[in-house]
Amino acid sequence: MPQHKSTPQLMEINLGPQHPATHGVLRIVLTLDGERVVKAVPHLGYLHRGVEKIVEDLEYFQIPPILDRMDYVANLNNELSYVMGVEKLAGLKVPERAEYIRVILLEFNRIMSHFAWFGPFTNDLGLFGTAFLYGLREREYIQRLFERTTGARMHYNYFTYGGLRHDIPEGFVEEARHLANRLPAVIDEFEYMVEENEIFRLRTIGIGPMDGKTALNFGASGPFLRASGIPIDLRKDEPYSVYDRFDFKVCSASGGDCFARYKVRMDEMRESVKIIQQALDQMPDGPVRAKTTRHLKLPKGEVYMRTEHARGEFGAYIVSDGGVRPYRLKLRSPSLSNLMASCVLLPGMVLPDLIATVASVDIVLGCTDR
Amino acid sequence: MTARRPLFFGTGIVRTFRVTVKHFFMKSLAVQYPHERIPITPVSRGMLWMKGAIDTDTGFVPSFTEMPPCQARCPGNVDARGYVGLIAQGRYDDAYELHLETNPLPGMVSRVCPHPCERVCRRGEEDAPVTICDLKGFMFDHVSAGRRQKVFTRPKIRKDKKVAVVGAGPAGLSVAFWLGKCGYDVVIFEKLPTAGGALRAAIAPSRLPVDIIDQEVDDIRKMCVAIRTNAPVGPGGLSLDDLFAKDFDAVFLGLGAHRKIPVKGQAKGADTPPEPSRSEKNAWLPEQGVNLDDQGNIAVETGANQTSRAAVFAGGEAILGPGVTITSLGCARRASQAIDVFLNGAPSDYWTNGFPKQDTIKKRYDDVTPRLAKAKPGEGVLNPVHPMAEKEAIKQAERCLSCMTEECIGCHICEKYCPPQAIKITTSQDKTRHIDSYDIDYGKCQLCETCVDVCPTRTLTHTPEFETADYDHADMTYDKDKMTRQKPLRVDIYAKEKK
Repeated sequence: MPQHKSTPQLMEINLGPQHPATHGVLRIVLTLDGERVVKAVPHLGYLHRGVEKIVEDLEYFQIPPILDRMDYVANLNNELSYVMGVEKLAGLKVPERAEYIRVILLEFNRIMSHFAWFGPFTNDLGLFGTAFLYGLREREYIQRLFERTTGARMHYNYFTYGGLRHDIPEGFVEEARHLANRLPAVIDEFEYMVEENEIFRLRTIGIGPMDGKTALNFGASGPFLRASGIPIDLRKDEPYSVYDRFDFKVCSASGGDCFARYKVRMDEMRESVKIIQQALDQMPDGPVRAKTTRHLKLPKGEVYMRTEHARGEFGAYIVSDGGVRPYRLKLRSPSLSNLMASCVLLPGMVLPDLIATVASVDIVLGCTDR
Repeated sequence: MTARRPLFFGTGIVRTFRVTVKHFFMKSLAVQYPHERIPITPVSRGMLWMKGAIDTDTGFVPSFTEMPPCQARCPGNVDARGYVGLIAQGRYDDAYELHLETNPLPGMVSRVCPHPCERVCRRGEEDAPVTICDLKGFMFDHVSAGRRQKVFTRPKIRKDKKVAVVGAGPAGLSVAFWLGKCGYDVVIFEKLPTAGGALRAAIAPSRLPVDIIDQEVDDIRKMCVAIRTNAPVGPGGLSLDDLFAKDFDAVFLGLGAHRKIPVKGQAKGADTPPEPSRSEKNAWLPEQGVNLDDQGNIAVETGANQTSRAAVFAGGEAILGPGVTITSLGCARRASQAIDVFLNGAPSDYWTNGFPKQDTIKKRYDDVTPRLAKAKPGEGVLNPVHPMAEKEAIKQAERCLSCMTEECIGCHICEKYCPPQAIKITTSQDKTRHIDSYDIDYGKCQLCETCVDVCPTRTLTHTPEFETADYDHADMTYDKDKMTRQKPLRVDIYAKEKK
């Protein structure tokens, strides 16, 4: 940590929890030496609802709507780990069509999440308004597809153990294909908008560099880890669902800085589009829900199912005592691990860089606090 | 990584924005709305509405679009929900009459049926299934002689057409009953000295008492011109040509495929002659113009029960191979309808003017509400219990959840499973347990559709109506009046976009 002898007076201020740059209700207690951060202590729990405790009183079929409220930007990804865990423990076979629809929606959800990250990120860098609106506007198009498919704009509650709650609406494939064909140009447009912008480059390149080893030690995952040069992607490394049938590459960058994180997400979206297009081509007909009972009883045992969330590894650890409710459901959220990892970067930065760094990690407090 | 475009703006935050905005708003790419080209039906979950009425003021008529699981699973599609509901009210005669529409042999079937209905009973998902098969036996034991007399009377309007039914097994007897009800003159030809088919020949009397078979055969006898026993059709008896020569207009082949099942502990003696296989038994049929399939069963047109010879129909085990009784009955019902249409040109009134369905359902809700809280776990038993005490039977029948009737019966299941506990139901404390109030607090509702999922009656629905905003929290609570009287505003939220 660099020492600044010229300004001996330290000042302690609160960043958040009600601050537009903290992406939710993150509160960071900062000790500042002038503009420079000496100490940064994140305080969590402003959005703590006790999800893990609540679900112990719920039957398995009642749980997905609660999980939707964790990471409210990439909800379907939350549901997936849980329903796949239940399926694994119950030995349920999901119909192939359901798997493909899941993949299509998950990848759209990932893109939506990255769009919802891109806008506020540029906002935090001072590019007020324009890119933000572009990000949200493009997200809205996908959102409409989701609304028609799942019936909800935000808390989809669409996945269920054994498949999906209901089949996709008429015209889904055409609209999804249209969106997927259009998205690469949109992503190009976003890059075109900010990437050669000198301010953007100055504010991101070399800011908040994270080395891969530290990130791994903190349990970081997802684009945050891949930007530090470690290409770990569960879709490739531990293929679940039907991800092993698609041709896509794991995007990584070596810089570890804010720009690298931005770049990884941008590239990742292109790969997601590729997956969507392949899935739409391969999607078979058939049922979308395996035959299960409403009050499912899981055999005694435990299972940990992890999937590649938009933000990293999202895990659901289900312990069953043989009843209709989980004995314990531990949820591993990527946001928390990534936030903890990024906090070591903060001391020594100037305050605006701290904002940029926290924004580039892409945390969702609903997921962090649970 | 895409190709870099040339840097076209300089430094300076104000200039950057001006240029960026202008540039991108001019691009046509940015304003393409996919939904302008492709219309998609919205399936949004919006507000929760109740389809049916919990009070009679609404004048709601249930649509019965879907069968309840018990009826759908039953190979004969017997209306279990209907007759169990009537038993719950003590209307055993009505229950019996309703039962005969889809199964004229409740006494015999109740003793031998593997009751797949109970395996899919919705109540079984909550605690234990309703013991439907026991109730069937109870109903048969308690039907009055007067009603039995009335039901088994040949209608006055005759059709002047004669049908020969070959085989007095369950399928043959049922066909005789239904065609008798339609006004045809039916004669049953049976090879054995007694009627009853497999149920008499292959079921141990300890399981199915002979007097029950006698009683039901006697009932069916009233619907026919005659049951001719010791009158084989085929080898050693009449041929199909003989039957048509005797002025029969149609023939139903209910030949059966059963064998004598050795009773447990009674070893098959060496001197027992081997029973002929199905192909051997049916070998005389191809000569008469009735084709067989690979397994030796009679080949029929799918769904129509019409054999390869004109005016000859078949059903039951003769076309299906050995199976359970209720499957034969379902097949026989289809065959009866096919014969009726063949002879009459159109379905008779009997098939449409049956026992009034709405009556069975409506009355039930006025009187009875299932008592979920009082159910005993493990109440569903696999082996039929006979006889069943009346008090026990009514209690058991009241446990039926009346699936798919699209009317709220106040079972409290939605209240029990609502994750945010937004639903509040109160029922009256007297014996009838009428539903007093049904409230949903939209301040709490998270639109997760759990209540819609678990509702056994399919009363609750979600609509794409999202307008739940209000100025007062009290107004956010929707009571039963608000949810039923008010017609759901089915606003198409995409109407503008579609154009």
